[in-house]
Amino acid sequence: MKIISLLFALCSLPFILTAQTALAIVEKSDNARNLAQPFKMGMRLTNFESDQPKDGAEFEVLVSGRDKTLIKFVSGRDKGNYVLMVGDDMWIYLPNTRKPIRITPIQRLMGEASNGDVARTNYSRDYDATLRGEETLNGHQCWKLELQARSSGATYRRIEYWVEQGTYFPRRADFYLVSGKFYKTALFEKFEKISFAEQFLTRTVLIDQLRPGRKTVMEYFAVQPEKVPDKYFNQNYLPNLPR
Amino acid sequence: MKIISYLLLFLLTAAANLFAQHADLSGVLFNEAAYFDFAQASLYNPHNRLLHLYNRSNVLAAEVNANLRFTAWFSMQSTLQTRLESARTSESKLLWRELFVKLAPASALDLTFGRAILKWGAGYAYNPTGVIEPRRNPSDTSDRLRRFSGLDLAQADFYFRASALTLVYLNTLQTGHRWQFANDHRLALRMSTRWRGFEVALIGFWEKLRRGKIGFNFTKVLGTALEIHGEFLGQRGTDAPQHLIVAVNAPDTLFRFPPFAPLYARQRRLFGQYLAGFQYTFGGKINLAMEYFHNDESMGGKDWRRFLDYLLFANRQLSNPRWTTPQGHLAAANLLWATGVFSNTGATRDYLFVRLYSADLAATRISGELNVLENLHDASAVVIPTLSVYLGREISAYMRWSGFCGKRQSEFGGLLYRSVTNIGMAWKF
Repeated sequence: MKIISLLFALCSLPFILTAQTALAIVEKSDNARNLAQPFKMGMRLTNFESDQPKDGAEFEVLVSGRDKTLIKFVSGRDKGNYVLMVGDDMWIYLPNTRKPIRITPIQRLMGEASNGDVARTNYSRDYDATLRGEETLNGHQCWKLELQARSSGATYRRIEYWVEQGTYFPRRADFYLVSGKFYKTALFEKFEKISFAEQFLTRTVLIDQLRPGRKTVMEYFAVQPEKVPDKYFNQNYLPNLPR
Repeated sequence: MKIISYLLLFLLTAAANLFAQHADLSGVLFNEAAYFDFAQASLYNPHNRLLHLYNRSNVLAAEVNANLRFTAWFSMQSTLQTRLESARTSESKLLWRELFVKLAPASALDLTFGRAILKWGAGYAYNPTGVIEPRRNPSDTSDRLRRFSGLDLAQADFYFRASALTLVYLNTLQTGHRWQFANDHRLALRMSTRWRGFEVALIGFWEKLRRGKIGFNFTKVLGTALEIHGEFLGQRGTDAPQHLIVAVNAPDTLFRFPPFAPLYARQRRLFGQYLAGFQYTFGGKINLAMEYFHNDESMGGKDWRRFLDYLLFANRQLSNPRWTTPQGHLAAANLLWATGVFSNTGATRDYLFVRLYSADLAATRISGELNVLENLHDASAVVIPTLSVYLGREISAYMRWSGFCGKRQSEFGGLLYRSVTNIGMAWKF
C-alpha cells in the first residue's frame, strides 16, 4: 500500500511542479502591474471605433497594497465619480446621489474597460494557473497559461495569458465570460522605469471581441509614492472625498 | 436669506484665497425643459380644471461644489446652487444644498458640523433605511435636477478597518425672519461592517415625541455580475398620517378638512418597510436592476380600492352645487387633498421597480436607460425611457419620456399626466 502511495505521489509530482511553476510565473508577472508601496498615478482612457478616437477621460488612482484601489474620475462625462475596490468588494460613488453603490467587477468603467480591469490586477490571487505551452508573440518568447477563476471576486471566468520569458512581463490576455464567450483581449504594450521601481506597465490596449473595431487604450502616468489614511479605503468615507 | 447666502459665499471665497492649502472646485450648469400632456381623465385634476397647470416648464441651474482643505485635520465643503424655474411665472432661488466643516482630530475619527446630505439606504429606487435622507423618488432615482438639500446636523464618524460607526444629531435651522433652531431633536445611529462579502448596516433613529425605528440593510456580490441587496425598517405603530377614507365604511364621502390623521399611532403592532433587489450585468454591457418594495404604512389592496372609489365619487360630485362652500367646491378640495397620499407614505403597499441600462448603446457616445415602476395592487405603471448623448468630454444632452399606463381607476392611470417629455443638457466643469 505504501509503495502504491509513493508511486502515486511520484506520478503526481510533475503536475504539482507545473502548477507551482505556473503560479510563480503569474505572481512574478503581477509585479509588473503592482508596486510594493502605496502609490498614486494618473490614468487616461481613450476609446476608439474603427481606429478613430471617439472619447476619453482621465482618472486619478490611489493604490495601497494589492487589494485596495481608489479611482477618481477627474474628467469626462462621469467627472467627480469614484470607484473603490477593497478585496473582493467594489463600490461606485456618484456625487450627485451621495451614496456608495455596490457594483460588480464586470460592470463597465468606460469604453471596453471594466472596473476589474483597473482595480483587480492581482491575477495570482484571483485565478488558478496552468501552463499550456510556449509561444512567440510579436517577437517575445512567452509562456502561455490558462487561468481559471478561484476567487468569487475574479472579473472573468477564464483567461488565456501570455507572459514573456525572462522579464515576466505580461504580454497578452484573452478574457472569457462565465457563458464561455470570448469577451475581450488585453495587449500589455509598454513597460517603463519609474522613480521607485524598475519596470511598471504604462500602456494597455483592450480590444472588444464581441464588437469588432472597438478598443480602449489605457495609459498610466505620473506614478509616485503616496500614502493616504486607511479610512480612504472605507466605503463609508467615500461621500467625504473631494468631488 | 439671499443676502446671507451672498455674504457666506464671499467669506468662503476669501477663506479659500487666504487660508486654504488645497481647493477643489467643480460644478455643473444644466437646463431642462419639460412638456406635459395632461390626462383629461385624471382622478385628481380632471381636464386640468382644478390645478390649471401650465403645459411647459423649464429649469436652468448652476451648481458649484467647493472642497477646501485648510489643514490636514480641518476642511470645508459646500454645494451652492442657483436656479431659475419657469412655468407660467418664473422664480429664482439661491440655496446652499450643503455647507459643512469637517474636523479630523484623529485619523479614525471625523466630526462634521453644518448642512450635509447623508444617504444610508442600500436600495436603488427605494430607501427605507435612509432615515435621515429625503424619500427617494423611484421615477428619478438620481435626483437629476439636484433638488435634494442637506439636513442641519452634527455628526461623528469612527472608522475602524472595514467598519464604521456614525452618530448624527439633527436639529433644523430655520432661516426665516429670525434664524433659530426648531428644536425638533433627532438622533440617528448607523453601524456598518463587512463580513464574508456581506456589507451590513444596522440603523436606529429616534425623534423627539415620536416613536423610534430600527432596521438594517445589506448588499452582497455573487460571482462577477450579480449583486443582491435588501433593507428593513420597523417600528411599533406608526405616526404616518393616513387618509381617513380607510377608516370610513362608505366611499361616497366628502371630507370638510384635509382628511389625514395618524390612525395607527396607538397600535403596537410592527409596521415594516421591506426592500429586496438585485442587479445583474449581461455581457459586461447591459445592467438590469430589479427591486420589490413593501410598506406596511401605506394602503393595502382593499383600502386602495376604497380610496379609488372615493375619488370617483368626488369626481362625480364636481358639478353638484350642493357641495359649494364659501371656500370653494368641496369635491374639488377633496381631490386636491387626496394627492397628499403620495407625499405621506406612498399610495399603496407593494411596488416593483425595473431598470435596464446600457452605457454604450449603438455607439460609445449614446447611453440608454429604461425604468419601469409598477403598482402591484392595480397593475398600473410608469414607463420611463431615457436616451443620453455625450457631445463632448463634459457636455451631455438627454431626452426622457414618462408614460403613465393603467386604467383610470389605478395609481398611475389616474395621475395628472398621460405623459411628460423632458429634454435637457448639462455641462460639468
